Amino acid sequence: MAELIINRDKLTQLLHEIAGGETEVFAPVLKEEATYITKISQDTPIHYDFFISVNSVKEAIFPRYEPILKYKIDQEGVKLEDIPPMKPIVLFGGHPCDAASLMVMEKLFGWDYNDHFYQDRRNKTIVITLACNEFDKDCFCTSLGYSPHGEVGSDIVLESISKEAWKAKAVTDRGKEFIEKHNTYFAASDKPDASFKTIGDKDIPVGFDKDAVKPWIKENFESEEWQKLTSKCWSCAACTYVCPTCHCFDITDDASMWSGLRTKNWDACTMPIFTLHASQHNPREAYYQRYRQRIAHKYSYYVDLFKVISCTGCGRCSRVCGAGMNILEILTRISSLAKKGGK
Amino acid sequence: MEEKWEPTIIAFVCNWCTYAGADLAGTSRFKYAPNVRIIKTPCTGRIDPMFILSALERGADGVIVSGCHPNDCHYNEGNFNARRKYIMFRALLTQLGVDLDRVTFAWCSASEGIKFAGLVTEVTDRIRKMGPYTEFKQLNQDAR
Amino acid sequence: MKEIIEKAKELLSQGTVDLVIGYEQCGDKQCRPLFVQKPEEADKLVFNEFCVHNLATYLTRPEVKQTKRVAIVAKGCDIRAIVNLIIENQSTREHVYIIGMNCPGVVSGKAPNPTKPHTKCQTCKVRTPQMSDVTLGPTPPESIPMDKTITHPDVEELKKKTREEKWAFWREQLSKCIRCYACRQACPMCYCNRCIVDLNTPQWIDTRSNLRGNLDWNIVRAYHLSGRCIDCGECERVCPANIPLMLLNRTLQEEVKEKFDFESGYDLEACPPLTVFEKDDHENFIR
Repeated sequence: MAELIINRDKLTQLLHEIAGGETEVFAPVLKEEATYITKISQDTPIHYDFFISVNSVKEAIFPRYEPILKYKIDQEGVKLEDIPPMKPIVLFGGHPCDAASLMVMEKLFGWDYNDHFYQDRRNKTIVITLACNEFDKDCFCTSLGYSPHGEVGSDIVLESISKEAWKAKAVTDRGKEFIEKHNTYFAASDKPDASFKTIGDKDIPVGFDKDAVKPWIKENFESEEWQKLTSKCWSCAACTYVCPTCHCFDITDDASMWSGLRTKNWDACTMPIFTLHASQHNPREAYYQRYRQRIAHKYSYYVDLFKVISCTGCGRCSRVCGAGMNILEILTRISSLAKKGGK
Repeated sequence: MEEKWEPTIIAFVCNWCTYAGADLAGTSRFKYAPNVRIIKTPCTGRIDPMFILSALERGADGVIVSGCHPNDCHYNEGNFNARRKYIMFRALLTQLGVDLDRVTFAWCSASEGIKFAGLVTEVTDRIRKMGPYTEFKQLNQDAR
Repeated sequence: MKEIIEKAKELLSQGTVDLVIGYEQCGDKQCRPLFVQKPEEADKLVFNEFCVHNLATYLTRPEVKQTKRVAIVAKGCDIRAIVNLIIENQSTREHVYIIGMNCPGVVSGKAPNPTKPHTKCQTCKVRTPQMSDVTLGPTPPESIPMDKTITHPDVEELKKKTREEKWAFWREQLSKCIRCYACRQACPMCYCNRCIVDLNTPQWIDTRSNLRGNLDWNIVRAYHLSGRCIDCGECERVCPANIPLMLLNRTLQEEVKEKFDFESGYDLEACPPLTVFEKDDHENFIR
């Protein structure tokens, strides 16, 4: 069967055309020498020559903040106002680790309470993933059983066949529909450019044994190793906010005499205020306790609940950390301790 | 009938001088623009720059900050400290592109009822000519 | 670097200090902070042009404050932060053993490709540490004289813009802020137990990362650092959104220098300008 090919110009045209309509398009954009996946308009230049975006694709589906309740008060009483319905989304520019993260996060937002804000957006989203051509020392998707060419969570995967063009592969029916609907942008080709070098699963070394991490965390919650591993952390939320699977949020009310707005905001377990009680007691007072929570949630508690690790190995937290915390290194250490039976 | 736009001015004043000055203006029957909303604070030293930002965000078109003249502070040095704070705050706002013509600082003592009335009227007239301060109001609208 | 390792080992084994905070290499062009508690762990210590972090930020941590004495590897610019912490009673000179490093300058830009020389190094007055218990490293190039007034080209350029242009510029920049507070956490001078943004009765600053909240937050942070910022540039370096935060801080540094003839972090006896006043302070803006 002939393969479907799309090149940069055509893809840009396609995304810009969609962005002109009712659909929101998220795509990589260059801002001050770094690439971010953000909402674009019809004329935003799309940046293709990037390795991995600083932020993750979660911003499209789980925005930094969103209204969940609006009301006005007048003489007749309290009146609820409508929250506009979610618009369909085309989410382009994530890598397989990003796409996989959507499958991880979905479980939480559809668990004890069906978070329809998340689910509505997710159900209306077409995920177009760029298979990886590069990796760096912070990448570790293979350690978690994912692949730089993985299809988990994507609707369409684009694999580079040259610097300027991709082979499009529909993974889901919705992906197929999308390609059929926009078939004028895709071309058929029988001979892919074999000379183009990309990376395979074997290029990214498996750094640690993912199944060994959880039992070690369970048994060594009070281990002194935690302090050694995380003493550098200065407790900001950069890692959690760029993480594709960190999903904690806070609900705040902003009310005046005659109107009010309730919003769902990002929040982060790494910040000191996250667990601060009204009494001023803080059960996670020390810096290491907070970073321990981040690791333990991803590799132990989340696994207990949903049978999946809440981490896809993108390495964004390591890249963004100003203090040089490296999650791969920490997990490698935990895994090797577990092998040795150390504490 | 179309309603004519009138500026909203918030005045942060200290309890001991300017508030008393405003009171004097009232008891002496000096007229001043009704656009001003006076907020009494203990001292100019208590007027955190956040107050000014909050006022602009919540719909003020202009802000007046006023307190005791130097050497007259009820707490001896509150207004001296405030003065240094505003020097820095003004530099910051200038670099951010906030319209400093909208924020007026003044010293106005308890006996200066006339000065207070004149100040309010003058600021109101000036802001009326400048029109509504939409930049900050827009921030608030976008946030709601 | 051998001499740092030796010094750290000596300090730890003699019991002079029970913690050494220094740098270790973590990649070709990247260093990161390292906590050394035992002499045998000191072998990882390094110092080179990638040691850009300001380690003084760790001094205000409870667990570091609880140590008997702490040694810190510090460049001249980092010592400015230590000076300020001592002035503000967050640390004492006796508690901190300063391993001062002669510093030819560090890089800026993000790993893995940090290339440019750091802006702060181009105006450095303290390549030789001004206050240290021991000074290590080869003699650096000459520093800019202490009495020289520094202006920053990027600040001057922004000052030349019209008000509307500045507003548009900051709207664009600050809308990128995700409110991760990396700037606050990395900053050695941001040590409040409870930051104003974490207070909610009343809630002065919107915690959502909308433009109103972002603007308020960044104004308040810059303002609270006025007369205290020591130009280490850590906030800007760690910002995941690449917001040029130092433009604001440097504006205020220049203002402090101009109006109060003060530069923070050079003098242990100095009073920060916003804690004192002169009766004849500049006041032609007040009616």
